[in-house]
Amino acid sequence: MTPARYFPVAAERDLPYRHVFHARLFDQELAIWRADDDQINIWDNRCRHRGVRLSIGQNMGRDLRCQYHGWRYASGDGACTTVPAHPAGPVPEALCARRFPVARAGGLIWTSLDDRAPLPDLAGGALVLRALPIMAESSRVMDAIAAWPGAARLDPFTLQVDGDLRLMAQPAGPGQMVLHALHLGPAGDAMALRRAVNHRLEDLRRQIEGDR
Amino acid sequence: MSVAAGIDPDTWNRWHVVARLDEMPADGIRRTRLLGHDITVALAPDGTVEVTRGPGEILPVTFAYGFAWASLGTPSAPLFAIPEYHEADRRNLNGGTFRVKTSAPRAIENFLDMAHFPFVHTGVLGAEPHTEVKDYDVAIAADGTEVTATRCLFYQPLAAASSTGGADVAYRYRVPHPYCAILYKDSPAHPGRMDVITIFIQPAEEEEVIASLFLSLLDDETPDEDIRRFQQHIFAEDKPILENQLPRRLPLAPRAETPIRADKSSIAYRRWLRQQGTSFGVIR
Repeated sequence: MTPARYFPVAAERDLPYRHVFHARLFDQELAIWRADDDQINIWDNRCRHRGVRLSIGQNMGRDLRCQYHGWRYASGDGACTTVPAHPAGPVPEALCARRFPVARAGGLIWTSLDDRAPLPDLAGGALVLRALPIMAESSRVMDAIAAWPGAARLDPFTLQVDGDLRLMAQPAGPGQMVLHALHLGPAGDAMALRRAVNHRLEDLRRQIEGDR
Repeated sequence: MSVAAGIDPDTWNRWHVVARLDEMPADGIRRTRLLGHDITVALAPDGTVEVTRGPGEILPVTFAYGFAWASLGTPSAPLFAIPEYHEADRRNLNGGTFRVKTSAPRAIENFLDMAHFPFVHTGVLGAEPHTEVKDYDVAIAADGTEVTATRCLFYQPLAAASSTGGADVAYRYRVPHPYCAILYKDSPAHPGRMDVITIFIQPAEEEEVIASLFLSLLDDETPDEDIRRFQQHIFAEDKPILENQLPRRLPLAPRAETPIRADKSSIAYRRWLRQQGTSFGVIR
């Protein structure tokens, strides 16, 4: 059972033109891609045919093409539209990429493995600082940050530091997480802010991974 | 027959490829893995080969096609035959050895697959818009010893190192061993006869294999290194596909993945593995 909530799995800027982004949430591999009409798709990272990762496939603008046999899955409903081995024949009935819900808030892309989850709320805008993968369980990382002066725990996966730094956990898999850092409200000198947060998070990672 | 916990008797008692004799280390000792066990292949200066498991259990060994084959159990039958190997006008060649992070059955299925040619071996073994896999025949031999696919035809821009242009190329496949397959394809140099390309897979671990290509060609012209480079180029295109295929072990449940008509050989191969009771490198 995974928590009924949305987690950040990518940033808007991780999805440039015709790219396919690879992410993981609770050990579920995800292929994340933006169609040319700006629709964002979050799919199980496996072609339904022979299990090849869709993240090594090609973003064709309106559909995603598997690298192995050229099967195409349409943006939006994920329906398989083309099986090149049988150009004349019907596509296997009702065959679709396995989809996960997509939410966009605060410059991040969010998904949930549970359809009943409430949508994330980040009204007011935010500056995406960075995402940092750390080889540790989310709970360990969040506990370490919660001990910082000025840190407040909003929920088990979200911390607020010094009023405007928000740190969110993406539990990727056993012993692996990604920490997403956002700055809420007016940023001022964005470069100086990024540099300061970057140093702080790199120190955190060294401390946590060094402790293993 | 002997048995081991966790490995089915068919796999345990079969011959498996363990060494390519023309690629042995200078000291004649190759330490490797077979079905998750440590084994040692020792080639003595007088040409004799001894294969041992662990500290000193001597394993049955046989030789064929330039390879040493061993068994962790007690083989009840000789290794499968490739009669073409002995034809006087053929060149028997090493096509390269590759370590791949996948199961042996995933690698065999890739070897049997034609539909990927235009997308993975673009411009060489296939090219759009020639993507159709025309109907072909598959069979499991009456005695259950092998799977065959026959009457296969696929358009290839550059079917072999000796090719000069595109052609519809006839293929035939034999799978005489769960982890070995033989491909017969039209010889560009000798119309009416077929080149033989085989893959012998050493199942080191359930999800890590050593694949060897072995060729028996009707080609007196192309230099060895060009033929080998051609095969290495092809395999280098398959390897990233195989290593991005999940799960790594081959699922045998009929509806675990989505087969289509073009996958007849894969469907028959999976059925055959179920019949054999194969447990290593598969999900039952």
